[in-house]
Amino acid sequence: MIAMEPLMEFGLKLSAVGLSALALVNFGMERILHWEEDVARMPLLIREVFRVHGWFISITLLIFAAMSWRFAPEIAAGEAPVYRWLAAGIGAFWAVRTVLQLTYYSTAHWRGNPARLAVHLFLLGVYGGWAGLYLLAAFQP
Amino acid sequence: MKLIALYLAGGVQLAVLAASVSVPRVFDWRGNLRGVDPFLRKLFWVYGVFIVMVIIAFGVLTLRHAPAMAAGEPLARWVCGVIALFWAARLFVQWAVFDPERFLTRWWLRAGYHALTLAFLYLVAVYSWAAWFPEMGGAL
Repeated sequence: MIAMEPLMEFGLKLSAVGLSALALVNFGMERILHWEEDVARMPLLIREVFRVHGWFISITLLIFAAMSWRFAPEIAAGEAPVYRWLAAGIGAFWAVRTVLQLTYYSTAHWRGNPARLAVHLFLLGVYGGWAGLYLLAAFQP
Repeated sequence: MKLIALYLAGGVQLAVLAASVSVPRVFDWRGNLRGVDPFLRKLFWVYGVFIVMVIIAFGVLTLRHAPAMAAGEPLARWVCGVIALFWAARLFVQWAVFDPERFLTRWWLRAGYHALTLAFLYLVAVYSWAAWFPEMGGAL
């Protein structure tokens, strides 16, 4: 029988590293994906809201990362209700993100393009994995 | 006192969210996004949905766990600290990034904008208080 707690603690720390990396990538997304011209064409308010929302998603990911790293042992142990609530919140966030990846974005973005399809499948796996990990931590017996 | 301030903070966040429901309509986001690349348009709405989820989580966590936050339990202090940073960043955006003047054409829009700024200030103050001045004391 594999001991779940150390494995989950390791998973949470690994997740913290991944979340930090994703936050940093998200900060530079506009430049990385060459959106500068498209974003520049947006009306002023929409452009500002788009950028501000992007920054706050990055801040949120950094918050998740810091909490996961600092409290990995407690979350993995499911010690107190507040740790389970935190894990459930982060798990729900990623569960919704996984569903949106499957249902909201048009498949036209990656259809016939193996590189984009690989990125889509990778992100789907990562988002789904995070949802599973945190929900498992929240609802463990 | 701190407990009441935290319960109020939980309510304020949900109130801010309720008020922001009208923002896409008031600022005609749908019309303004019409000419935008479809992928960026969808990303714009996805970002919005997740910001809403985060604020709901902050509000619900606070209303559900205000006693732990007021008492200064370690995780609760961290939660308060990151919520304070989140709203401090939002306050910075309010003052340094957005230029709302051309939209504040009615007295009630101006009043709403200033009320929002006060709400952000209140949230930063209350969560900072709970994070950095715990009743229990102890290290983070």
